[in-house]
Order: sequence, then structure tokens, then C-alpha cells
Amino acid sequence: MYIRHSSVRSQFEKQQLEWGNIHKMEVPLHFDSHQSELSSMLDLAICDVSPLPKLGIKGKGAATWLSNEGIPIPNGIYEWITYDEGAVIIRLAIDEFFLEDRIEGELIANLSDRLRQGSEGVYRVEHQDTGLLISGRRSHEVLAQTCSYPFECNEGKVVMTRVAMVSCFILPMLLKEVQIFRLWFSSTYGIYLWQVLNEIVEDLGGKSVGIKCLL
Amino acid sequence: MSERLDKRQGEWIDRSRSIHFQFEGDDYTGFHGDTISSALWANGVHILGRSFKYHRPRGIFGFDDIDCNAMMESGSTTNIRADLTLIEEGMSVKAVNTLGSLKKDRLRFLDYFSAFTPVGFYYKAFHTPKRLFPFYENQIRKIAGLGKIDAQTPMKTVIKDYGFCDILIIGAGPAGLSAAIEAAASGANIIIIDQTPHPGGTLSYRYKNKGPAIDLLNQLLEKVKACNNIKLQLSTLASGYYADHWVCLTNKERMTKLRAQSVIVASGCYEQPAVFHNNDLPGIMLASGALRLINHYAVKPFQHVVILAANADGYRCALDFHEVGIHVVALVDLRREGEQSELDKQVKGLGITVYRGHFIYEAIAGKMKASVQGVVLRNLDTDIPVNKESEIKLNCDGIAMSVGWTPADGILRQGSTRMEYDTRLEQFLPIECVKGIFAAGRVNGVYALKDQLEDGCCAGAEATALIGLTKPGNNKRPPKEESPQSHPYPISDHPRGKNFIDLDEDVQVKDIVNSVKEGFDSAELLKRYSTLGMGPSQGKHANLLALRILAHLRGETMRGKQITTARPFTSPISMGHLAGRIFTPLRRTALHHRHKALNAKFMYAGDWLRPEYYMTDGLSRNQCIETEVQNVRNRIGIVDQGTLGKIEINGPDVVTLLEKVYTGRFAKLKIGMTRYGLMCDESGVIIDDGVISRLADDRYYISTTSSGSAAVYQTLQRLVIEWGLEVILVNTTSTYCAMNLAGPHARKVLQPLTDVNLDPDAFPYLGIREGIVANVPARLSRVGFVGELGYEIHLPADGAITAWDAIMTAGQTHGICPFGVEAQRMLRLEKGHIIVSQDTDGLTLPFEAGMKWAVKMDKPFFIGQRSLKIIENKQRERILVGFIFPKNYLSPKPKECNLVVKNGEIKGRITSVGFSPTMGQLIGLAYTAPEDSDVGSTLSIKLDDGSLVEAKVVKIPFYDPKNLRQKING
Repeated sequence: MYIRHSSVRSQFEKQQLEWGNIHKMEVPLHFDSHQSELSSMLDLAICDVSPLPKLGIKGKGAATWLSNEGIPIPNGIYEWITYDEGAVIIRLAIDEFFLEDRIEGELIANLSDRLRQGSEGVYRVEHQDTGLLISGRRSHEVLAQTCSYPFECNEGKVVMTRVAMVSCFILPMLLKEVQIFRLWFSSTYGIYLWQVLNEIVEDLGGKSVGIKCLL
Repeated sequence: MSERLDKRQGEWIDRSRSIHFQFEGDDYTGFHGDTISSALWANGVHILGRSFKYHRPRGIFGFDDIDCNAMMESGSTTNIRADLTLIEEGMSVKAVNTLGSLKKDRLRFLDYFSAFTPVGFYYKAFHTPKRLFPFYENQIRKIAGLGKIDAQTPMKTVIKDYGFCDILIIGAGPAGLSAAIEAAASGANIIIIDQTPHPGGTLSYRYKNKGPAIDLLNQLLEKVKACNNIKLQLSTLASGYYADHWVCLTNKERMTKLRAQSVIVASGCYEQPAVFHNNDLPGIMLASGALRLINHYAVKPFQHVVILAANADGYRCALDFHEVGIHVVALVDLRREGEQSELDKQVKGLGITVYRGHFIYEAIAGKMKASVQGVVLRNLDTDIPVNKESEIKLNCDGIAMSVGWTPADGILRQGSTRMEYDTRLEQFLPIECVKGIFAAGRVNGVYALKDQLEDGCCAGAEATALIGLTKPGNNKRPPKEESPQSHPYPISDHPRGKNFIDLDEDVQVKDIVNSVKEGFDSAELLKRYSTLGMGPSQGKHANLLALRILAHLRGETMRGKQITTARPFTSPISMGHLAGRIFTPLRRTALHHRHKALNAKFMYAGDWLRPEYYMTDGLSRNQCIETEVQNVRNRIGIVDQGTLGKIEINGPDVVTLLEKVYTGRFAKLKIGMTRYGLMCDESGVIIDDGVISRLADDRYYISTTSSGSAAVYQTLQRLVIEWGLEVILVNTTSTYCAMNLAGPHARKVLQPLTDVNLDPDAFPYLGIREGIVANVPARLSRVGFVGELGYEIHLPADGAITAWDAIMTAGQTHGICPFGVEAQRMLRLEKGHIIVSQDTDGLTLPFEAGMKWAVKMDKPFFIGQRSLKIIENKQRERILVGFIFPKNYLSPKPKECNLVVKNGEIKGRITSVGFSPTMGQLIGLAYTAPEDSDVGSTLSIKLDDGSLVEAKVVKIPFYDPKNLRQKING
């Protein structure tokens, strides 16, 4: 395994913070005290969660293959479920799934190994998306300034939309009863979108927090 | 605070909080809640600004959020609207559009020259002599315009956001509030907005003499408060309506693009002025404006007032004015029959003289036209020019006009509501709204208070039924008002003019007359010629008046007449609101910060930011690029190709797809090999190219041009569906980073880092292998775009830096240097490789671009084949050729797009040109006529300055024609 780099890493390099290695990617663990960051998470915070391993599976045999691997799959398109205490499984199409591991998980690594053995009608989709998390009771204000989707009307589904003119898929969810929005988008827009969203978060009095808040 | 009244019930000011501010350098005190206008008027300041053209003193006029002669500036903020903006502690404002000061404006002399400056004078006066036009223009620009922009002001971001609701109600007056209460019962999510800082609309300042207005307002507000599904948003303007019920809401802090399922417009009416000589003097105001001043801010608008009325509202005003101690000198009723209701008796009972069938002929100006001293009345039935004896002169310091209304229908009109003039009511009325838009209250021609409430209820019920929350009921809207609330022609002519129609632009009656005489006799033409309605208030006081005059001059009635087209925005909003936070998506490759650290000079390429070249101290741009080129030719270079489009294509039908999409053959492409692919559209025009790599029987990996990646992916997706192919497409443009390691030392540098055997026998030219580079999973392909031994390395974006660092370290002893886009362009030009969209355009056929070798016309089918078959044997119109300049020729250097001409006719253009450090001369590609395309022909190139230079046609490639370098056993 190689050393991985987040697309937004350069945004943190001049800051005083505690770095850590998550799934071979060096990311900020803390910008501030753990307590302060937890408090920000409740109000308004943004976090780079790109290190979490991702895997896409596509093809007419994808659903069967996942089921055979013992992975629960969502029934409807854009529906999602959590698995293995934090991994996320999203159905993007009838024959396409997106999986993301938790911080200490090994689900993606294991599935990737199994996928290398090959299976008819099942194709791996490499996902190098930047992953961001916007958290807190005012998190919807950040999206209201960047995205024209009415999340208040969302029935718990993943949304394919654009944020600050960048195509994203967004998962609104509750994490320990805190409203969060998970965003995935092309890493080539990583710096741009981080700068836009972080600026709005800061304008609204929120903060960027380290990934350790999620533990 | 000489004009301040005792506390009024429901007033908007907080008398416990004094606010100190400055106006034109003088200190004043107001109360929290005061606007700049109300605070100044309370302090006895009646000149709030100067008019746009003649610089006449102006005061409060309508006090209805469109007093556009009372514009202020403060620090770097300009065009602050004094009637809307609240005073703040320490605020310092001054009037815009003055030279010197407001009181001693040095441009006030313009008023005395007004006879020489009617509308359109500049069209006629300043076009000759032509050489003086810049001078005239400069002077006019200095004088014209409101406020000055300080270009040095730091940018302040105004928030732009999106909002959603079931029902948006515009206007928090009686109709709007009752609509909300009715609709809320259905559970609808409702937003009510109002431009003023307090709800209530007319309930907050009218009906005072009837008692229950404030009580009724409080009852409505209590009900609204009790509904959790109603959000009341004040100080917010509905400034624009767009299709599908997108409404633009603006307030001081933000612009919200709100999407509603249904919109109820209960925006009320704007009171309309009367037109007479000097009708713009400070102290002359709309009656509703005076009432707002009294009831919202407890400020006495005048001491002795003459009321000009044409409806019952004027009589109610007389009662209200009397109640607060204003001496009503007289009530002048434009109607010969006067007021037929009890109000007439009540007014007369207070000792107020009522002049029926009279009009104000002129207002008598005080010193410097800064105030009103009196009025001259005339009888409507008097022959005006001859009988001056019938004139009545009255002394007063104020005139209140209550002669009619026009609906605040900007949003309705923008929403394609059909508005028609009602000759019974003498105003425009909504006749037919588009689905989902409802009008209620006075904007709908319903004036009686109880009817407004009922009209609002009906609109609320209709809206909830429309969005499916309730069943459609049998709501019957209350009838429209029976008697006209507006006078059909409240306009009097005067030999001395200055009877203003549009106070924004100083347009007078005679200007309309002149416009019509000159043939500008429709509402749209009149507007363009006279600038009527083009000021900040957008003609809200002026358009209807102008239309009345226009109809009068043309001898027509108002039936069927229309005002000019309504467009966003309904009221002025700042440029900052329009700009908001700027979203300009910019793509960066995974190696961006490595380039930055290497001193890259970046360039924009589409939405990508790419290294143009790497800066070196002491070297010019061209020298840096030439050094990079030479390093690739002689040692080793590396270029970031992360922007290339990359698509994985898998599935049993993948070969079928590729054969149909590309002009070449791919069915027999061996696993582990690559081939150039050219893509045409249906007309045979080149649209993209790339490298097609076969990884397995049913697994291909293709690259596309950087700019074409999204379009190619979408095209492939569409074709897969249309042709019903079993193919899985994955756009991996962002997933994989790519870099090209090129130069004679490429193999030596790369081999220690990879598990792929780079031996030429194991990995031949045009081969592709999968392995690792610096532990990062990678695809390596041997390509020759720059014409040297090279490896294109594609790897996951998160591993790009790891691989790049390892390669740069390994390459140090071999002289590795990065090279940018410009060096790459020169390297490929030396090889004569085209760049699609630089060396091709929207009409280029493969035969013209020397790409015939890539087109297999004998295939059963590919997109564009049919067209190419038709064109194939026809005479070419142009051909892409290579050209060189003599080695000693250095300047003037031709540029891309310079024309190739022959006998004065255009034969083609240069597509690529530059100094080749390898060849030591200027080289390029250009289109030219087929007869001039033979090797040795001369091209005549027209430079930017019109001069002609000659170049010689040569065979391409310019460099290494046998392609030995890319196959070198390095």
C-alpha cells in the first residue's frame, strides 16, 4: 500500500494541528481541543473525510455479488444503509453501488481483494472522490448558499446535485443525533470546493474540525 | 426634533433609544426605527436631495420605498435610499448628485437653462462636430448619474442562498395576512414577506380615523404567530419573478432564490401623483406618504396643508391630518360632483373648505424653490388661458395629493399575468394569472377593508387547493370596487412647464408632448426617447401618467393601453447582491501543489489550472519553455497529464461500440496494445481523439482530449443506450492522475520504480501494461506524443504525489525536469501531431487535417462515415500543411490565427506556430489552399499589423521523420 494524499491536504499544511494517518492518508486529526471540536460539530463544522476507503461496483451482477458477499444492499435507487458500525452502502443505480468504509474498517480492503478474483458481470469502479462532511444544526445554511436542492423535503435519500456549481452526491444523515451532510465529488475540485465551503462555514461562525471527531 | 408628534399607537420608532447621525456634515438626532428621511423631516430638514437633471431641491414625496430623489451616500456605500434605510448610531450621510453641497449645489443653475435642455437635446446637440463628441461625452458623464462608485472599496460578500416553501405571500397587509391564515390551516409551509420592517400594510397607517385598524392588525398577527407553519419575513423585497415560481427575495444581508409551489401577490398599490406646475417642491407629497410619516414615525409632514383629492381617501386624510393638529387649509376635489359619502360632511364639519371641480394650477415656490408657499387653484370649467380672475390663491406649506392608485404589479407582470386597464376603476387590473399565481387585495382592485380580508382568504384557499393540500372549494371572490379610486386625468398643463411626471428623470408634460410630435408615440418608444420610467423607481409614479397623456394626445381612450414590459428587478438592488459569492469552479490535478512548489506559472485551460511552464530566475518565458523542450529531447522530462479525459469501457459489446464510434479498427487490437483513435460527428467533422488501450477481451481504457472528456463520455453513454449495447462506462478522468515521462533516459529512471518489465521486447512501442510505480497501482503505456521514448503513467489520484516524488528523486541524476503545457505543445508540433480543437475547428474533416490514415473507410460503419464517403472524392478546399521560416528569421513572429492569403484572398490560417529550439527556426501548421500545399510552396501570411511575410511548405513531421526516437533503446 502506498502513501495516499487528500486532494485538500494543501489547505491545512500551514496550520498548527495534529496530523494522523487514516487508511494510509495523512489528515488533520484535530485543529483544536477535542471538546471544542465536538462542540463545533453540534453547531457548524466542516471536516475532510477523504481518507475513508471507497469502492464502486457496477454491472448486471453487482447486486447478486454483494449479496453473496454478505453485504446488505438498499432496495431503491439513492437509498442507503449503514453496515459494520459505520460503513455506508449506497445504491446509485439498479446495477451500481457505492461503498465507503468507516475509519477503522476493513470492509473495502476485503471486498477489493475478492473483486480482484473476478466475477462475470461485475466491474470495479475506482472512486477517488473527495469526501467532506458538514455537520451541525446550522449545516443546512451552508448548503442553502451553495445548492438549490430542498433538503428539508428529502426523505432520507442520497441526492445527486451540484454544490457551488460542482456535481456532488450528498447524503443527509444523523450522526449521534447531529445533522450531517456527507458530500462526495471529483477530487479535481477538492481545493475549490473546500475553499468555498470552508469560507461559508467560517462566515457563519463555524469551524473546520479534524477527522478524530468522528471516532 | 421640531416636527415630532406625540406618541402614536403602533408607531415604528423606539423613543427610548436616541440615535445620533450626521447629514451633510450637520449633527441630528432621531429615534431607533427612524429612516433617514423620517429623522431628517422630524428635524425640520426638508431638502433631502437634488433632482437628477435640473438639480431642483427635493424632499419626501411618496415615502413608499421609491423616493428616488432622496438618495444618500456614506463612505464607500452609495445610493442609499433614505426612505428605506434606518438611521444608525454614528452614521454620516450626504446626498448624491450634488456638486459642492446639497444646499449650495453648484449645478443648480441647470434648472434655469431647462428650456434649452428638453429630453433628447443631447441626441441633437452633441453629434457635430464629431471631433468634440468625446469632450461632450466626458462632461455629460461627469454630470449625469447618481452616486459615485469607489473602486477601491474592499469586496463585501452578500449572501445568496436558496429557499423553498409551499406558498409565498408577497405583502403582509390585510389581504396577505388573511391569505396566510387561511392557507396555514391546510398545513402548508408558508412564507410571508414584506418590504417594510413592520407588518400590516395599510392597516399600519390608514383607517386611523375609523378606530379598529391597529386592533385588527394585532388580531391578524396573533393568528399568524399561532401558526408554526407561517414564517413572516420583513424588510424583504420580492424583486424578481422567474418561471416555475422562482422568486428573488432581497434584503440588506442577502438575496434568496426562493422556489414556491404557489405565489400569492398581495402587494397593494402605489399612490399616484397629480401633475401641476412645481409639483416637485419639498412639502408636496402623496397623501399616503404623509400618513406614513405621521403614523409610522410620528412626524408632522406640514403645518398648513392643501389636499388635492379625487377619491374618498383624500377626505379621510383630511380627518387624519386634522386629528394630529395639521391645519387643513382646503380640500380641492378634482371631481365636479365631489365626495358623495358621509366623509364630505365630516370634513366640512371641521370647517375645512372643499373646492369641488377645481384643480391645482400651480404650487407657489418659496425661496430657492426649497419649500411651498401656497397654491393657485382654478376651476375645471374655466377657460384657463383667458380668465385669470377665477384663480384662487391659498397659503400653505404643504400639499397632499390623493388622486389615485396603481397596483404594485411588478411581480404579477413578470409572472406573465395579463393586466388590463379597467375604465370603470381607472386603473390596471389582473385579468388572468398564470397557474399558481394569485392576486389578492388592492393589487386585485379590491379596496374595502373587509373585502380585502375576504379576497385574501379566497386566494389562500385557492393556493392550497392548487398544490393539492385541500379540495377545491367554491370560493367566491369579493367584488371589485364599484366607484373609481383614481382620477382619469389628474394632469394640468402650464405655460412655464415644470409640471413633472417622472421625478426620477425630471420628465415634464412638455417632454411627452415633444416625444409624440417627433413620432415616439407608443409607450415603449416614449420610454426610450424621454427616459421616462428609466430611473431608480422604474416609473412606478410616472408610467400611468405618461400613458394617460399619450392617450390624450392621440385622442384615444385608455382601453387596451399597456405600460412598458416589466422585468426584474422591481426595485433597485445593489450590484453586490447581484454578484454575491462568486462560484467559479476550478479544477486542479492531484499534482497541483507539486507544480506550485516547482515555481510553475499556471494557465487556465478550460476549467483546469495547468502549469504553462516552470519559471527560472534570469530566464524569460520563451527561454524557460525552450529549456524544457531541450531537456526532453536530450535528457528526460515529466509532464502532468491529469487533465486528459479517461474512460474505462467494459462489457461484451465494447468492441462494437468502439468500432462504431471511432474511425479506426479496434476489433483486432491485441490485449496489452494501444492504438490512436479519431472520432468524428455525423457530418464527418473531427470532434475528438485519443488513445484506445485494450486491457482484456472485454476491458478497454481510452483517453480523450482534456476539453472533450465530458462530451465524449456523454456521447458514449447516449450511444450505449440508443444501440442497446451491454457496456459499462466509467468516467475516470478525475479518478486517475496521469503523467508522461519522456526523453532518452525515461526507461532508466522508471525501471527501478516499477514491477513492469520495460525492456522493449517485453514492452514495445504502443504497448500498455498494468503494474505498480512506487507502490502505486498504475497503467503504463508507451506513447509518442512528444516524439521521444516515453511512458504515460496513469494511477489513482491519491497516489499521484507518491509516484511523482519517487520519479523526481530517481530522475535527479539523469537531469529530470518537469515541463509544462507550452513545452509539450512545441514538442508535439516538432513531431507534426495535431491537437484537436487547436489544429482543427468546427468544420475540419480528417482528409483536410492529414488524418486520412486514421480513417478506415472500408469498415462497415462508423459515425460520420456516410458523410465522409460523399465528401471523399470532392475537391478539398483546404489542407493542413507544415511550414517553416528561414533559420535567420526571427521577427516579426506570426501568431496563431494569422491568415494565409493569396492575391488578397484568404486561403487559410495558422493553427500552431512557435520557435523550435530543436530545429532552430520558426515552424508551424497552417491551412492553405490545396494548390499551395505542395512541399516547397510559399505561404503568404498576413500579420497583425497587416504586413505580409513568407514561409515555406515542408513535409511533416519536422523532427525525427522516421519516428526512431520514440522507439529508442534507451
